[in-house]
Amino acid sequence: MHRTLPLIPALLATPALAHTGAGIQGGLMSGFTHPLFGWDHVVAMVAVGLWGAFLGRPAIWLLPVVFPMVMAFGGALGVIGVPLPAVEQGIALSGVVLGLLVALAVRAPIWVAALIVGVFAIFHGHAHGTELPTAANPFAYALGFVTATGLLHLAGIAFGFLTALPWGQWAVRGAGVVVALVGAAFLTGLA
Amino acid sequence: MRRAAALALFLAAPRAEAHAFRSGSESYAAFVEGASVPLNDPGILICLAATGLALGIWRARGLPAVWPALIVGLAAGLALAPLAPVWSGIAALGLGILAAVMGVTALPWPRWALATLAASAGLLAGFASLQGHGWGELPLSVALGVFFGAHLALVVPAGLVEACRRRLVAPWVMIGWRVAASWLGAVALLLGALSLTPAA
Repeated sequence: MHRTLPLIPALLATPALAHTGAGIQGGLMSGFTHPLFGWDHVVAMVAVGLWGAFLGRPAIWLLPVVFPMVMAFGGALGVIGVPLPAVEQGIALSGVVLGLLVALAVRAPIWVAALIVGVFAIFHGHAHGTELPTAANPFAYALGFVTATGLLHLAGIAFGFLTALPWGQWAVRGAGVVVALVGAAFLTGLA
Repeated sequence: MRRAAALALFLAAPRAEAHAFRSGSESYAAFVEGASVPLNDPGILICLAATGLALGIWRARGLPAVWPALIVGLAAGLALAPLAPVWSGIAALGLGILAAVMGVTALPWPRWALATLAASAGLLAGFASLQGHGWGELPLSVALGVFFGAHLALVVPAGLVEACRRRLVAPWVMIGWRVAASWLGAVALLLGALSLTPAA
């Protein structure tokens, strides 16, 4: 008898519905994890912070200010269904270009840097916008999405502060090589 | 005569009900309900918070410089809410994006530009909060609650920036607020697109 008793609640149990992506918590988690699932996105966003650190002030802060708003603009285009050609190639190319800019320690003028970052941000945002889960709470999703993106930039900036050290420059440039290789792997279809 | 008047007042006085939580409890509930509207609606909240950030970033004592415009706009929005168009909420979100951009750029905007922004934010917050309700339909305490809640949503971010400006003089502090304005603008952009797109 006492062996069959636990069987009854086990058979009566309904499916677990935690983390369905619905509601405020689900939307927040869904939005927060969205930019983190995809190495092509992650490396490019970290590279923005790394490059900003190489460029110094004011670029170190300007690029992370520019990227979220332009990326959200691209995301809005994706959400409302405005087509954008070669989105995946653009994202992969962003990894290659930003990685090489960091690896070669290119010190571009601030407006050129903002333009490069802004153009690639539209591709990243568009991809996220078109992949948006419909069940998510819009406000919570947008909040989580932007926060995760910003934190990736801050991670890049934090790592980029190593440039202040003699050996740190090489560590950051090495990270740029890794970013470029990941981007190239996505661009050539290896990843 | 004065003694008789005092006696009349004394005799006419109702029972004291301080802290009984009965007298005026309905008005208080209506006030809280009204205050929660701008704080719970993402579009209105973003509009007001972004405006607060823009005012704080604009200059020291930025909010007091344009506060009368905010009060006039908010009062007008609440008074004219029955005439509010259905797109008031999305317009508030759009104004939030504009306010965020003004905060991000941190340009030396003229005072009239920020006064217009504050008045428009107040007007749209009033419109969007009470849109769909006719004159006399809601008790006055609801409108007072909205007035209070809208102020809270705007004054807190503006005050935080002002406090940082006075206490923390490092340049990265104000850049941090510009980053916050950028994130808020990005959230508003995405939310606007999501609001305009019908669910699949």
